[in-house]
Amino acid sequence: MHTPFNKKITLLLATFCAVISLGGTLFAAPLQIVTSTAELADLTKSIGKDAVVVIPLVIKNWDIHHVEPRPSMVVSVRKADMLIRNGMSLDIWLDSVLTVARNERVMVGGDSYVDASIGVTKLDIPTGAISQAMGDVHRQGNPHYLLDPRNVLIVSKTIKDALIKKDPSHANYYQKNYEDFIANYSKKLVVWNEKIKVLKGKKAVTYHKTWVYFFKYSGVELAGTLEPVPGIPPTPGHIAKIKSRLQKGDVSYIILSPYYSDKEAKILAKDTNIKFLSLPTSVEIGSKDYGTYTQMIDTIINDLIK
Amino acid sequence: MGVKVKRLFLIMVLLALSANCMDAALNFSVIGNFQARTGADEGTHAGIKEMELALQSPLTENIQANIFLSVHGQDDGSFEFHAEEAYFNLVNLPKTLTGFENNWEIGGKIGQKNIGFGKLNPLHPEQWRMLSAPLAFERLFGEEAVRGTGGQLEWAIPLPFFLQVELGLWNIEREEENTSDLVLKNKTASGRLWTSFSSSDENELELGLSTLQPLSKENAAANGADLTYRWYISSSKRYVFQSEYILGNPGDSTQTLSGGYVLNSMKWNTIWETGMRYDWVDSVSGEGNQWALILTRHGSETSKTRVECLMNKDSSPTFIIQYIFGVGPHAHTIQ
Repeated sequence: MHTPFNKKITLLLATFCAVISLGGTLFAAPLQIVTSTAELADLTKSIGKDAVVVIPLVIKNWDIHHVEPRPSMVVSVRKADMLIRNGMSLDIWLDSVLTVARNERVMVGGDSYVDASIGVTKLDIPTGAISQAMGDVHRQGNPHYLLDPRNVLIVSKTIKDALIKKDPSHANYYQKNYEDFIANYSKKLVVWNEKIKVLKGKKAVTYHKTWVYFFKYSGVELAGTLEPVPGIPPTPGHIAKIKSRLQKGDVSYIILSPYYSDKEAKILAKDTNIKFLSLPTSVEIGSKDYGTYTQMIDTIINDLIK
Repeated sequence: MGVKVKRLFLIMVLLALSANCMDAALNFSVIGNFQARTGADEGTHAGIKEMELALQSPLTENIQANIFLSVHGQDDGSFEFHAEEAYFNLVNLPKTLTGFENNWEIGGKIGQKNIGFGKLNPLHPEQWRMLSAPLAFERLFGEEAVRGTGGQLEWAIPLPFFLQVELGLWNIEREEENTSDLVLKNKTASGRLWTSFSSSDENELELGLSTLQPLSKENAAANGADLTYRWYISSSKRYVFQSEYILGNPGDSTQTLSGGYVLNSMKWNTIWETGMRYDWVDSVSGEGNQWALILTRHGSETSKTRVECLMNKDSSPTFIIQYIFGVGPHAHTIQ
């Protein structure tokens, strides 16, 4: 009973439906992903590419420990389809943003809440009772795990799996981007692994215990910190101890993150003739030296081997 | 009746948290607040001002339980136990009530809590950028925050900037020792409009309008406006301008009471922060004003020492020194 006219209508409708459904897949609104740090934003964008819009809450190489939560962050989190955080209490301020934002998708336990530290082997996990006398000790361990470039392999897989779970229609796209990213990143790792060979066994004094993951990767040994305990600013007595340690002559570097006061470190470097380095610990959007994660690791390694 | 409801909420929240105590998502925060105060006119007092234990946990993906217990040191050396706040935070109220998925951005809080009026009242004092309460708060509201048992609706209006409307209904129990000029008590409606604009990652301007309106005419009412500007100069350097203005009506007279404060606070680096506050008040007990100079040393991520000097023309300066440590998410709230 089908007439040519009916056939045309059916064909037209079928084409229309196909275009709509294909368009829905190809041109769906990108996922809005909020990350607590710029390095997580960079890694997420590398895998999500055009299918995601990534908004880092902190875009500068600032001390993530001391970020003040504020209402403008709430606006980003409220609209987010997914939230990816560093975790391990480094971005603990994010909890109050989540409370005000009331976006159940990205609340702790929500289906689009991602703690990027899951799966990473943690260092410096305190044993026994934790007290105020120990300073700012994170009971989950040292949270600066992204300073070991090998951990990116774990974190990027966590991000890829979360993207596929959230947006299965782009599963192949995310998988392909992830594989491309890992292929390119592995080449970078080979170059870095070769470069850091000269660092093995060298000793460094740092301001804060930020660098334990990078040191484990590179073989650099931690000879001391300018902070007597994590989070407590240097005291004259402790600086004197560090100075006598440096005067043994076997320490190669005094390393500081740019957001710490460099006063004591520069004096110590001058008095002991040890190389002073201010190295980034976070990606800063727009920076030519550490605007992406790989640039940041390049900068760290190149400055150390210079 | 009010006390019974308050206890009921305390028990309900405690039970809910106990049931969840083995869950990794249960957050503990401990905040210790030690204070010493000295002045020629008032002598010297020192001791534990307050120890606070905060327990916060999601019960379901849609409901969080929060309880804040505190022990206050008294002038006679004794300690007093308080359940400061005990409430459920309903992330998505329509879903909680109906079970249906929706995207209406409406939430709520139910239980006993500090009422959302202005910038300082909803926060616990250890979270302030200052040590003492501004004169206007002390004279109009009393030493403790305006707290009630009831609930509030919160609607985050979907706009490109932050705009939240809060509407609440509370039963305010006035403490016997509260001799403040504004007698806020019994059934009271609250409202707050809270907005924020940010032109870059370095700065943010916040504006708020608040109101407390009694359901019976003989009780006091209050209206307030607040303005906060934050400028993040670098990772550790930031400037904050914060100001609140309160207009109060005692209810039993036509007199209008008013007061406010203006605070300039500069954090120079990771360690040092200085502040200067000017307070003024015009209340039943007369006009008054004072200056507060504030010096804060941030010892670490979780501890700080603060010294404040209060000065006014009627009495000799008072010095207050405070040591605070705070561990856990409650120590990092949105101000």
